[in-house]
Amino acid sequence: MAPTDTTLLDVNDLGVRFATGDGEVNAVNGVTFTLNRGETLGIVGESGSGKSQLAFAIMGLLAKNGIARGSVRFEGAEILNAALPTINALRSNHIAMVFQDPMTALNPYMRVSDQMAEGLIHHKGMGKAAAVAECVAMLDAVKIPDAKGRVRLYPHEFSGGMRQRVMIAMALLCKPDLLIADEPTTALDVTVQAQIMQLLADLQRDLGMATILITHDLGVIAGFCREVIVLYGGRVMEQSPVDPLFYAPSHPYTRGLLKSIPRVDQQGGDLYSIPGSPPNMTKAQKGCPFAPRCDYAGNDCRDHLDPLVEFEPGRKRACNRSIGELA
Amino acid sequence: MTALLEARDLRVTFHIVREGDMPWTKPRALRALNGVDFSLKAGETLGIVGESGCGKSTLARALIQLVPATGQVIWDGKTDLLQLSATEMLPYRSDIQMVFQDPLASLNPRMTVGQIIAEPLRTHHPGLSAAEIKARVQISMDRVGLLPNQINRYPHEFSGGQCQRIGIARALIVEPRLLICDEPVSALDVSIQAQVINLLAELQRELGLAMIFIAHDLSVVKHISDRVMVLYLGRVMEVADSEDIFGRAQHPYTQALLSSVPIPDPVAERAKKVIALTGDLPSPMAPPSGCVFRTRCGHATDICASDVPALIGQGHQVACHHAAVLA
Repeated sequence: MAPTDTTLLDVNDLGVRFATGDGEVNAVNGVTFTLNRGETLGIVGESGSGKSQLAFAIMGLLAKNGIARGSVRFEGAEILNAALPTINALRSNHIAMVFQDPMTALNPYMRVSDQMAEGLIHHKGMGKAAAVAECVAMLDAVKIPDAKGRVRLYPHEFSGGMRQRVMIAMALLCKPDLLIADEPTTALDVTVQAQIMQLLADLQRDLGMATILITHDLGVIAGFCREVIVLYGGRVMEQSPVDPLFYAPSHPYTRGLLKSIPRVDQQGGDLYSIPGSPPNMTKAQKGCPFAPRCDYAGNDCRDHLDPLVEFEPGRKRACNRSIGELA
Repeated sequence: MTALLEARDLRVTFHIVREGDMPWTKPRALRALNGVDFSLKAGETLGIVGESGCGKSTLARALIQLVPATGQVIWDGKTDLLQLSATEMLPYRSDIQMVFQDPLASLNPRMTVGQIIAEPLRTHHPGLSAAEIKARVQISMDRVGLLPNQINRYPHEFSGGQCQRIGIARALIVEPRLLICDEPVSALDVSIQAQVINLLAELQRELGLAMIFIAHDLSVVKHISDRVMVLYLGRVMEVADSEDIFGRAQHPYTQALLSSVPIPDPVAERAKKVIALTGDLPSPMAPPSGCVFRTRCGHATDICASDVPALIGQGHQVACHHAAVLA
């Protein structure tokens, strides 16, 4: 897709490397995608697939030993490896993030009112009292009962689900154009997960913000996203609108993944299981990261992987085998 | 047929002393399990589900005296396990083995795989020769799909799924009749989770094991269980055959829980009606009067606040005053 005026985020050939004691880790390799205003994109992958590092690279939050290459354009301006003042002006104001574990992402020494108001005071130049009033309104919007009374509490005085609501409220305070939610419900119970996902969907629709949802749970993706990227071993295996991804997956990994999930709405029987285990990212890889576990892999797959190509309007895949060959 | 294991009025109370309490302050009681009854037949798999804090792990631990409990746990229709001293309990421990949630943390990092798997054998059958022990370790490793040449490796050399296989091999070496699995797959990636679920199901069929399978993921529980028990705040809400729970749930909590599970199918997921639970789980230190679920239940009436509903029914048991209407 060529960037158009509705394009909000344009990621091109993004790579993330880490220099570690055990050698170089290529966490993300050549990821390319665009995200339009108001769209929802799901990024799905298992642990070590690079899905979180991808988000951290966009936000400029990589660890010190991490190096990002490629290009990330936000509203046309390059933001990858941008100077701190540039990226700080974007954070929270235009791009906000919700992290997986609300207990470690919130500052335990600060009252919720203080840490939430910080962003408003910094980015919007509001006074303290006005900022706190705004925080209370936002906590109300994420359905925290008695927001006025609870805004003065510390994070540990909230339950897990309530803490995640605080995080979401905090991310939405400056009305960002893009929200990146990194496993926002993984630490939560299913009933709370359902509440939070409903809340995110409502807010996304009402505020019209583009959202990137990073998760390992295909069920959550199915309900929330319009577009999905499947990552494996730091590379994009498949990119597709949500319905065809689930009903006609084009990549052997996506097919295996979908077949291996037990479903609450279907009868049991033996589950399909993908043999082997996810790749060790410290070893340099040449070919397709999925090749050692793939039923269709040939010798060529170990040496090189065809680039991501469009095989149907709006759908892309990276696989040396054609769809016809995957019987 | 008599039950292999029967729990009657099982209760576990933790006494919580909070920081700042005076020496004479009476410790507050946290009732983690509040009168749980169930029975398990030989060769049957009982799934236990519920949200965090509902007492599922405490239940597993209470059965084998890992936490102090009151009530009765009748083994094989004869012995009350809760009345036994540590020495008297020892022979029963080889009949009941456990697989834990965190695969790496439950293995001693300074022991080799061979030593880890052999340890229960050394405890329960001290007379065995080294050769006999080695032979049985190899059989056990083969059974769970570990390779013979891995016997001298250490746990850190294995992936999460492999570590869980080691934990299962260790539990099986003493030929237990009951295997208690506490969230055995929740720390694993989706593609690895299917491997371990299939392994457990296969072992259960081959060895005629009874299994108590604890998980917060309802799809996994549905897949592996013959019967399912739903816990909420230390009480049983509903027990029934797996098909009945997932097809004809009667308790409003079970219905809400099931409706919250995300389905990896975009059309079904978008069409799904979530029964939203309002509010948070009440504190187990101050549970609601009457039915513990009434504070979050859409059907609660006066009787729910005054009377504790009994677990009634044949086969399909429900603890709800309005079960007849809601079914």
